[in-house]
Amino acid sequence: MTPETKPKAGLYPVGQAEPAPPPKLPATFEPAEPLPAPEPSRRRNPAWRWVVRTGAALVLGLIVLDLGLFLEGLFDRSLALGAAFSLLVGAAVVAILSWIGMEIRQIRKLGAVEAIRIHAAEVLARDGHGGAMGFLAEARRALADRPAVARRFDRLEDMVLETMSDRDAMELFRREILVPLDMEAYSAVRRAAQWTAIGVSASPVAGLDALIALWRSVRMIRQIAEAYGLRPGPIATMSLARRVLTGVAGISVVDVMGDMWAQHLGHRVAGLLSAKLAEGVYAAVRVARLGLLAMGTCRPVPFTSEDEPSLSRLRTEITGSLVRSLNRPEKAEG
Amino acid sequence: MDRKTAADRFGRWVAPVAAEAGRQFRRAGEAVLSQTIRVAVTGLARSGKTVLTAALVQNLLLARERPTLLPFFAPAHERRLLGVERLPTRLRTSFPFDMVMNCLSADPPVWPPSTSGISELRLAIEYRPRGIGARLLADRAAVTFVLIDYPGEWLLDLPMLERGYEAWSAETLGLARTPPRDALARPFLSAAEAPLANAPAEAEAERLSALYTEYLRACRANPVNLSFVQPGRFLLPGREAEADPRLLRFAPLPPGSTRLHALMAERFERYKRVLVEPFFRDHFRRFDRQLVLVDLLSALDSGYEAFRDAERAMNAVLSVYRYGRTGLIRQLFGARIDKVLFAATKADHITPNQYNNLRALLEAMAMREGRFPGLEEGALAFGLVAALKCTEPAMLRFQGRPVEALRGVPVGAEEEQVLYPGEIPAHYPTPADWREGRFRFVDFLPPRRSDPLRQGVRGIYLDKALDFLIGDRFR
Repeated sequence: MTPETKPKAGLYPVGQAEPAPPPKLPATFEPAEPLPAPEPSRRRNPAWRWVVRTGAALVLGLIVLDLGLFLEGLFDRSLALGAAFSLLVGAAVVAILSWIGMEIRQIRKLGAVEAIRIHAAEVLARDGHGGAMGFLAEARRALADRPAVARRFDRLEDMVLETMSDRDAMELFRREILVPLDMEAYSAVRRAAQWTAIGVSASPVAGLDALIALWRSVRMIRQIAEAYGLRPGPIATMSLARRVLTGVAGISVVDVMGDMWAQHLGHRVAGLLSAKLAEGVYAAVRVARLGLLAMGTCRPVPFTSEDEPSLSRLRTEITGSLVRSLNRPEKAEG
Repeated sequence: MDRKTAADRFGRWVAPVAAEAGRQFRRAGEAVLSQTIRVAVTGLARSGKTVLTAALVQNLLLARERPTLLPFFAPAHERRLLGVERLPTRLRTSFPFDMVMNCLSADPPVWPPSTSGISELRLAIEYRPRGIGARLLADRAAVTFVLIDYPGEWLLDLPMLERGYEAWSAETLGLARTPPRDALARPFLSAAEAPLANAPAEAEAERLSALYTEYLRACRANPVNLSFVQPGRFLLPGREAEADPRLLRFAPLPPGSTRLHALMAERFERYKRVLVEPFFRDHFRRFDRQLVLVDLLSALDSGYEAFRDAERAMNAVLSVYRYGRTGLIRQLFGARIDKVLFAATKADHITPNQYNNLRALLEAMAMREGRFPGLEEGALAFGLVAALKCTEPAMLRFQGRPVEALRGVPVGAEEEQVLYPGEIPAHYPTPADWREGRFRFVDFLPPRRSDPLRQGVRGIYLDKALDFLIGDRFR
């Protein structure tokens, strides 16, 4: 930088200065590059799109028409009855609209996770000072929706000083905020996997185990999202699940191969115990894998190799808990 | 019935034995895990070591109640500290902790007077061991943390041990003849080059040593702010030299063979034998860790010569660690220091965007003279600290744009002012870097409205320094 762009070093009266922006100001983060638009996964047939749209419009029109006729009939019979039902219908419409609004907000928030990630990567890459403050304010808005997390943020803000390097501030953020959230999300994954393992092993009907795995997976994804400050309803959960599964497609072949081998070995070891048990473990590992991917999707800062939860550890925990749960009744009988 | 009575009697006999055995086992476990660590804090006068020592101790005393004070000190943030208390000292002089804290918490707060000589402060830090093996041994252990504060000037005397009087004189006079020292040394140099022939050697030695001490004092003072002052005890004598001032009555002389020369040479050797060697033998070799504070900003502020001189002083201190495990001095003193932190002090006098440059400059200065075979990989670190943060961030408007600056009350001023301290060179600087208005560093008064007694001392990177120096002992 040339000397003309900087003032002369020295003392100045306070009047020439403006106070530094308080560190806890809301972030004014604008990503340097616009966020990449999600690529369309595959080209849909435009005719099919029109079929869906016109079908939806038809159903909606029929519902509105039917409701109108229904209310008209009621008004014909009695003004009071018509008014009461109109109020009920109005309240239901408002409730549905606000529910849809909340879902949309949650889906948007899901998109905001991506923006936070880019911000975090920028802060870490710059290796400067003071840049982490804006990030922490942004992260607080996204994550601190529960009193316990808000308290952890209070403590973090007490630790992070404007003199701290961004890397140090981010390390404190990881340690004080992310690690406890990771543990929460991880235990949701473990619970879901263990339940799936036991449920599938104990399921007497073939179709029921698939239902158990699906139900637990959806619940797990919601719990993970909640751990990371999201509150997805059914639609947002679906959207999240889609994101997670889109992520699956991006995994490298090596990763998949390695995991297949590990799963295969786990399958064989479990198979030695019992075929039903093996099915349970297999299903549980799939749920666990989905859970870890969901964690990776919802976490506002990508995992580093240091703190990435390991599938093999989860697999061992699942097998262990399954064996324990199967042993328990035998012991009781003995 | 009889059997039951026998069992009861046996139980009554066994139970206290088992309880006592358990107690003994715990006590033995605590003894195995408990240890003492001696950390020496040093730096030239005005490097801020007194306040820094007090700040480290005060924050440790509060760390259990306020773990957010030391977020990077592992035992504190892992909530494993069980209690910290001060212990009576064993050295004759104890560190004036209460005096320093009283100064900092006064209204208005003031800087404590600087300390001279060696003093110590002992803390007992009780903690919960982390490792499973350690926790099997005992559920609590203690580290006795001994902080020893001594003048950095004393370390500057170490290179004298390797030189005889003639060699030291030649070197010292050569240095005194180079600018900016030559102007300060003129009275001494003219006296040393033409000593009074008729005067008794004793009286002449006293006169010359007084002139030489004046010259050293002028070197350390404003505006030159030089760092390399040898012998260091001429400025900070310590208890022994104060008791026997004749130990300091010598000065470098040009080659000659007069009676004055013989007296000076003998005093020089006596200085080394009575003051320098015992310090390294009795104190230095017992330190486990060393924190060396360098006031690099004052050196930068005073010009290229002062900067080069700070480098000379720093490398004289570092020479202790350059000798390697088999070096003569290493064998002589058997120093066991296994970790050294060199820290640029007063980091609150620059804007945070200059921290990386300051750290890099410190390291570049130390590495110019080579590596440190006496220390293992990772045992030497370079950092920056501020004992007490006296400034707040501010933005200065310049040509319509905001520029990062600092706000605080400069020493000698009544009102707050804004300092734009300039930029620390990211490379090893050349004389051309000292152009007008490039940097300006100012001493500030301690902040008002801080409550160090209850809130702790808010400094910069005190926790990282502490973690590097003693964190590994809390296993």
